[in-house]
Amino acid sequence: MTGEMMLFLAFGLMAATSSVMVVLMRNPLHSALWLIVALVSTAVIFVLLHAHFLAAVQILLYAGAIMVLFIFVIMLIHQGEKTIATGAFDYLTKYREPAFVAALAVFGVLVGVFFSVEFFASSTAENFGTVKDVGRAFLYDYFWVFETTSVLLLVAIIGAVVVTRFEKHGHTPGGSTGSESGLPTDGGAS
Amino acid sequence: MNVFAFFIVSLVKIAVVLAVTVGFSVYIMIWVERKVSAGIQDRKGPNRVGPFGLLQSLADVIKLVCKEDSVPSEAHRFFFFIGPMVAMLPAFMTFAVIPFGDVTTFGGLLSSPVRLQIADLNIGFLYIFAIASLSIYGVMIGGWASNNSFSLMGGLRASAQMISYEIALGLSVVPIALLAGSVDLRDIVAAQSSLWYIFPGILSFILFLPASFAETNRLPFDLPEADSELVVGYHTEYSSMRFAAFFMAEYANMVTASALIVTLFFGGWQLFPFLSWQAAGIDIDRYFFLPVLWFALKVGFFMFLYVWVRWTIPRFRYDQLMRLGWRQMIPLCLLNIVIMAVALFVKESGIFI
Repeated sequence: MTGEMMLFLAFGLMAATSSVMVVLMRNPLHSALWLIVALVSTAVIFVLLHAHFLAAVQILLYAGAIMVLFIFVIMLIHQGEKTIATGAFDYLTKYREPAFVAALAVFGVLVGVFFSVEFFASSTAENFGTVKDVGRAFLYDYFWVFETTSVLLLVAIIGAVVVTRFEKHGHTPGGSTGSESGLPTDGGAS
Repeated sequence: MNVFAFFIVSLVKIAVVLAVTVGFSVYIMIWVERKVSAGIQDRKGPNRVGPFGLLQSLADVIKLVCKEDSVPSEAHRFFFFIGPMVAMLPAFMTFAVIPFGDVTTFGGLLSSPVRLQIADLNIGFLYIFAIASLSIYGVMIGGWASNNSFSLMGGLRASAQMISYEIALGLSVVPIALLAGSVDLRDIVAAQSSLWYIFPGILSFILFLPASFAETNRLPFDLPEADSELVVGYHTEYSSMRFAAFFMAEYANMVTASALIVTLFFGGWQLFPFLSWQAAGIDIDRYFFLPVLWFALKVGFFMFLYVWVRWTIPRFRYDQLMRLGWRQMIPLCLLNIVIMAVALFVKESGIFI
């Protein structure tokens, strides 16, 4: 039982339980926090697999920025009195039993797949997973993939900006909490 | 060295670093803040408790510990409890990769050299930015758990500000990584033995400094704690040791930010901009404490700068702050990356020279 094995057991268990807790919580904020625990545990597993850069980026972007925005939304858009107990989500919960059976079936298929594959410990290069290695892969081997993905992200950003744009001479599409709340002037003299 | 020795050495390093950054620096910083603000405002600071008021921080700590720990009745209990802890944890974790010295055997005392850095990660300052991005949660949870609309607004503003300036923070340091050829902080410090990166990376420094002020919620970016606007913002409802935890987390973040500035731009533990310890003939293996003290002095100067700026400049309005972060700093950071990349390319390929 090497140290690596112990770490993997500990953090793998943490990743599994926190993922389960995400779907079991009644309060959506609790779910979001368990998801953060799951993401951090996954980052540790990445480190155990020598993917250091990926682990850093996982925490930096996923747990550090995306989940923050999730929590923003959850905190600001409070559901109020709608809970499972009041029957507000009956249109979803009537599918509980079929969903459970389907999830068990998927789990069974996955177990079958994992046990039928020969996993082997491949010897990794000296600087596998370091920033230098990943950067080199991005810019030499997978250059076109990298650039196309960047363009895709740019398209997504522009789409988000267009969808949430406000009408300068009308009312804003949703509530406005930010600075540029429909005033015709730029944000104040500097 | 074997695993056990590595473990013990790491524990010793962690203990020393925690004692210095938490125990000593936070204590001294409170005193420095009050004395420097007094000097700037043309008055004396605390001078009754202990010589020059040095024991004032101790008196404050004792007071805070003995204060009543009030929890608002409608507060979300679990989050109220963990808010300060979640704020403190990243503040202490980020210091793990800062090099405060070179390899040393303590003058022949040890058989194998030990590096004066807790963890020499090859992802270097990416680790610091990753952990710093987790410090947003402390602020958000603290603000929301208080069940107080001022706290919630303070927490949300603080986290929006911190996310916005995280981008500028990370992008402004990319040229330094380009210069050093690595993001590993050990390599960056070692590469500054002939020239500190403040000279070629002056633009990066100009962009990194405000971004680090914004990340640590210090004036001029301290809207989340603006007394006149939000009571005290996200830590309004926290009393006694919980408030002390937020407080310590903020100062620890300041220490880390100062240490990062020194490491990336001012040569870390290197001696002078154009002179390294070896070139000056000082054996830093034997006199290992010299680079460490020098590093501490540099970090101390930047912490003084934090305090100095705080009591000099008025704070930003929120929309000014957001505009600065998104519409002015990010394009400048990208331009800076392009300029540095082009300059390095010209220098290394020798096209126009």
